[in-house]
Amino acid sequence: MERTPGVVSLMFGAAQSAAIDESAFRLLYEATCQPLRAYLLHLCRRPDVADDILQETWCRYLLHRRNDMDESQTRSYLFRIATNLVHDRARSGMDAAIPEVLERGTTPNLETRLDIRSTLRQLKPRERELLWLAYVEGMNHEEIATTTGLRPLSVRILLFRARHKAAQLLAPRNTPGNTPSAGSKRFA
Amino acid sequence: MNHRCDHESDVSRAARTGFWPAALAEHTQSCSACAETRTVTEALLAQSIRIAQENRPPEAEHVWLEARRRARLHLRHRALFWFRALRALTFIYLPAILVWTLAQRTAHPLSAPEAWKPRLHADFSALLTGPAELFALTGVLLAAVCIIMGSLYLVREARTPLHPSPSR
Repeated sequence: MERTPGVVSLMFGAAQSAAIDESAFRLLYEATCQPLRAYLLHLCRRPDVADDILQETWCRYLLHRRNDMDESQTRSYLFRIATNLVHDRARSGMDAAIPEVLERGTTPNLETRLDIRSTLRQLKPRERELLWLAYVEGMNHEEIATTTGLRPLSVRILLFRARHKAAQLLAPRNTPGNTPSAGSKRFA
Repeated sequence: MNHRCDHESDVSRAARTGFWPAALAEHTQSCSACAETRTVTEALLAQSIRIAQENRPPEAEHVWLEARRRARLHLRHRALFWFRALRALTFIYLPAILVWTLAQRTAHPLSAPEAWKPRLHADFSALLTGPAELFALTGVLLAAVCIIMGSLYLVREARTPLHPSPSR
């Protein structure tokens, strides 16, 4: 969700914007753009859309950032902006009419790549989002809750379900005939 | 469904870093939750590596300039909001002042036709007294707020230059 600047942030906004120059931005961008873009591509699956959202994410970051944020908070804040923009875009249905295109350099005949990709596509957007933040970005439940706007307890449960679902989808490819849930007890 | 395990985060971290302590690797083979975590983490990491290899992110310079351009546009829209509000206030207050002035003159008609000549000092002095006082003062305050807020956004826009910084 977009944070509307109050009078105080409006008054001191110029000073905040001036505090980050291009070289500082470049350092921050190079440290975070690759994971952020991979996350966006994983969620929206179209490079043009991912680039557009990435651009808007940085724009909103520059407009609304706070000076007291450390590295971890900045990363979490960027992912939160990106997540909200993906949600907004999905709600507005902007990309529904445009067919998905393959990423640059993709070689569609590679069975393994497509297999993982198509498997992960069967997950819901929220599940893909949670799994990526937890297992690729290594965020804990609180950080994921901050990023997604969910409660930490909900994150825990939803993440558990998403992981289980993903593992079931991936299982036949790794070990045919194996069902990971067999004989295990229910999550309480 | 599987049970949860306290080592899931360790397994996930090991899969990301590639460093597997022997005890953890052994535990992962026997724990279904950790095995699940490892499977999913490795699949997602493979996806992440593939994306990183096949896609080049936009150049920082382009993103910086575009972000500045969008920021300026955003600030201009914000400023425009306040100036449009000021225009709406004008559309409300100008007819109201006109009607009020005419009503005042009709209520206290003067004999001579020269009474209809502009009497700005007398009219505006009368405007700040009586029942119209609150209405007029509210209008002045609202107009001041609109001008100040709009100007602040314009100042911010002016302090967000489009050209690259001279340090580069």
